Amino acid sequence: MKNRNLIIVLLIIAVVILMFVGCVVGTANIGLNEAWQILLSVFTGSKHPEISQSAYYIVLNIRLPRVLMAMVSGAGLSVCGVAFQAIFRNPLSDPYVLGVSSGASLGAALAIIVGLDGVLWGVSGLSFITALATVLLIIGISSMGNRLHTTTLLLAGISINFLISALISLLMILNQQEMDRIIFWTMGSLASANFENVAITAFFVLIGVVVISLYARDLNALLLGSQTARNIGINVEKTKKIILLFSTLMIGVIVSFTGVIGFVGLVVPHIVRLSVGADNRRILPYSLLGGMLFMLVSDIVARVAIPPSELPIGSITSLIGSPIFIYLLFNAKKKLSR
Amino acid sequence: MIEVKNLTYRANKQKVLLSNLSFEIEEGGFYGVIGNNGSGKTTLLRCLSKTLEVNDGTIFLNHKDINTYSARQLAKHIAVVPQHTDFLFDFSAHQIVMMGRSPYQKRLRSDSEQDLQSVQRAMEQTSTWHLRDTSVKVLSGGELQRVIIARALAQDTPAILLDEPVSNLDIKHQFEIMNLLSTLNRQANKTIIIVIHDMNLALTYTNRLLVLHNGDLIANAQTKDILTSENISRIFSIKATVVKDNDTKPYILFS
Repeated sequence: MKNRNLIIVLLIIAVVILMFVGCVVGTANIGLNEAWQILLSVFTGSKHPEISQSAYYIVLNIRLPRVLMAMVSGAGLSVCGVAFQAIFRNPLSDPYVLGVSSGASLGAALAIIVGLDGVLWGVSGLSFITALATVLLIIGISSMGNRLHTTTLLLAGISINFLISALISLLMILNQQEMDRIIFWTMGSLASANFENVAITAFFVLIGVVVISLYARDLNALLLGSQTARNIGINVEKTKKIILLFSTLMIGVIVSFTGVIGFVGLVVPHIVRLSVGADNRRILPYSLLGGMLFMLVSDIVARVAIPPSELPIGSITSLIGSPIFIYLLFNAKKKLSR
Repeated sequence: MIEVKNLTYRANKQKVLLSNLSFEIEEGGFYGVIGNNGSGKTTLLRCLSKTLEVNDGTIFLNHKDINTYSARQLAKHIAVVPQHTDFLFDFSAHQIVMMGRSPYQKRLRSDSEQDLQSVQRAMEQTSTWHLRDTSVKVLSGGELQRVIIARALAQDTPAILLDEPVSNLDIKHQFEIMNLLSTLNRQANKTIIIVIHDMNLALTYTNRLLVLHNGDLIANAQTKDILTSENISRIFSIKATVVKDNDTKPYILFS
């Protein structure tokens, strides 16, 4: 027990350090000490005379919001991964793999084209609706009787990913003036983060994380299968609906601000599970912090890998995530052939 | 305790798996459900545990329609040991047995002292306490079955439904589990309903049998009246002799 608390504390310290690193690194050369003074000014309110206004602007209005967005979206995506893995009873499930993130990005792209981006909640709202529609579609395709078939589930996710990327390409060609903004949703980026976006995302992620944590024990029972879960007193249908609704809500909102960032929900819970076992009550807090760390690191790598240009963060997470996905698939294959 | 009236279950609302069953389960009874493969035994247990929704007829639990019970309420009355359980995730045996306590647990609360005691008692009764920290993924079939029975015991219900619980066990553990069920039945007055293939175990342990044949309940009587040479031959199309010596318990010889 002591050890576990210690690990949580260490993770929190790591998150704080990486937050700071995230505010320091970047194309504009701002030193450690300068960045520290600038960040301190948030609390003290007084500005240091020797630091330029532009440095203040870059650290506080560009880097800090994107660092915060990396944390919030990382936490959300990774908790959603935990939820999806329990609902679909499959360690390979993740909002990206199952096409739910793409579904959300289609909604976001549509919203921009029809001009909903001026409307409050317009982009987030539509991206939540299309994400939810994708979830329902996947369940529809892959359920056989009361059961969800694992292989069909993954195939359904992959085909939906294909379908949606085709639709998005089509949208881009038909709306060339919006092409840049739509590409952003397909690649994933934290560049457009601002405090307002961060606050909205944090709000929904917080609600989602609280609800999913309340159901952590029920998620454990779901991992034993619907029948057993029911026999030990879980209202299976209601639990699944609530969890899917709130996790899809998180996905919808996150994707509407960051675009599609893949594999976070797959990689982080997987690594956490290797170290703490299958109990979701333990997995959730570690995954929350792990998701923050994973995204902070990916964002820093995306910014410093090939200066002065910035890589899309989605490509970094995919570079790390897809080998792990293939490894898991390989393991699943071995189990099936035994 | 359980009263079944005109129960019919159709798979996909077409193929009749159980037709017009009526019977009563009395509190404290040790019931066996026997019949050929495909006769509807598992389906019957699933209907009784509300895992399947019946198409026609009603199941009463303590004089109340079973459909009026929430999953949580029902789980305080009936525990189920299913025929197959597969574990895709790395839970320890202790965590699995603890899940039997779910109907008594509140959200965000950690496991209570009573939960921990129930789990330890259940695991000791099924001789699985030494496996408590072992991952269920590496347990043998027999060990796993005992862990699942322990989960049902931890659920602390007046009735336990078991679907062929001893089929995968070696002879020692078969008797251990059957003796345990028998003890729970006699000492704690637990109602046991067990789907069982082994006629000799049925003869030794159950006091009443429900015989299913193609979805019909063809017999419902005391075990000693049902398990006669003629009946076994008729139901299972196999020659059998029930031997009743004075110095041993009755047993069945198949030929």
